[in-house]
Amino acid sequence: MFAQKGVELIQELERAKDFLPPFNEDGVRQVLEEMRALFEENQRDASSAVAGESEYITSVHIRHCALERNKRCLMAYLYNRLERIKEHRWHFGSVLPADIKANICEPEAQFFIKYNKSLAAYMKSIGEGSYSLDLTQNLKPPKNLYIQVKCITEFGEFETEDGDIVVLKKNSLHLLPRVQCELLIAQGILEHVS
Amino acid sequence: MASYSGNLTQLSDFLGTADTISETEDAEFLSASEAVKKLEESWLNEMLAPELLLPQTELVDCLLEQTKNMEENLMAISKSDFRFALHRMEVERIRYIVTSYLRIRLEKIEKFLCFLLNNENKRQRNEPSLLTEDELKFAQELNSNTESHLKTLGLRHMPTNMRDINTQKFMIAPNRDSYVFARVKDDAPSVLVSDGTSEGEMEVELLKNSQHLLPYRSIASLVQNNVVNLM
Repeated sequence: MFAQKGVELIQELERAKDFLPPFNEDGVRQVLEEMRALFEENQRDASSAVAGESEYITSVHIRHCALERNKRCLMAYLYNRLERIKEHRWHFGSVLPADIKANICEPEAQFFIKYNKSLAAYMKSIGEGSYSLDLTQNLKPPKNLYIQVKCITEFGEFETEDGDIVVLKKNSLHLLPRVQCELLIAQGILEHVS
Repeated sequence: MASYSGNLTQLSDFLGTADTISETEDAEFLSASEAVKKLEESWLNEMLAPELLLPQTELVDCLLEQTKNMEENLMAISKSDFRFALHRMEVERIRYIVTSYLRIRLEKIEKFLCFLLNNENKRQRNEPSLLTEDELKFAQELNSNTESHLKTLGLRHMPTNMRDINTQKFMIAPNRDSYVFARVKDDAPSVLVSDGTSEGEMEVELLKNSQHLLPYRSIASLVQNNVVNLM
């Protein structure tokens, strides 16, 4: 059946809702190959159709629809991966964790860098540049100034905004300002204990 | 939520930050608590409206300036002072609203990217832009990056007649026919509401403080003009 591979690509992405599956280079290549084959057949039949054999027109039409569908599937696959990558930027900050990095391909990594840049430029422009505001922080409405966190990795020294130095050791409990923990929690260094 | 602005006035009086500040464009005077209240409204409207609303740049700038001042004043008092925690919390709350507001806008910009850029190109010179200068720059960069990415990985390898991307076809446009809850701030005597079917329009009278469930399209201009608030 036509466009089977393209649909499979989308299904693959859809099934892995909470993580980004590796870039399916093979799948993408197969879709492109199918498109090339369809296109060549179409060209052949189209020239016969022009020569007056009208029975070819229907098959040309069907192949053209298959081509369009393939294109649409492939675009959707690539675009939705970008959406996920953008989402990761908000979750993990400007440096992606190694396991996600392993699943993206080179052009996607390039896109991530450019997106990072645009976002940073935008955030810098807020408040006429006199005030730094990180939009990826303050994700939840504040309830308390300080929250209790548990350190789940060996992190070392961490300097808080007002100059105090806290040593974050594995399994140690701390009461820290919420603002400064958000990123560390997202990176999986700290864990919020309530 | 309602307690935010109340708290802020008292607290700002404490710290002496409640001085009125001028809004550059309107030359209208806004106290800190009024500014917070206004942004709260814009924030909720932006959150609940299906489409992007006009940006509140001055309001955002003014509040950021305020929180900055408050933070500077906070440096002066001791951390064990009970006022410290209260003020700090207030600053955090304002900052949350500001960031959340800007974040919602960015989300919408990313979602309706082609649609917004398309409208921006068609915009007459005297119409106000839905995007601030910096948002526009962000949108344009994102658009060209996305397009070049799709080209490198897909379009470039396709048969020659399929290499173009028809943005009209792939464009995501906001659904202005979705229903929204609205609270009326000022009387709006006759609003034409169409239910999307062929039965034509119905005239509805929106009285002050009444609440309605209406299609967004029919009250879009009232939301922009601050006559009704979404809720």
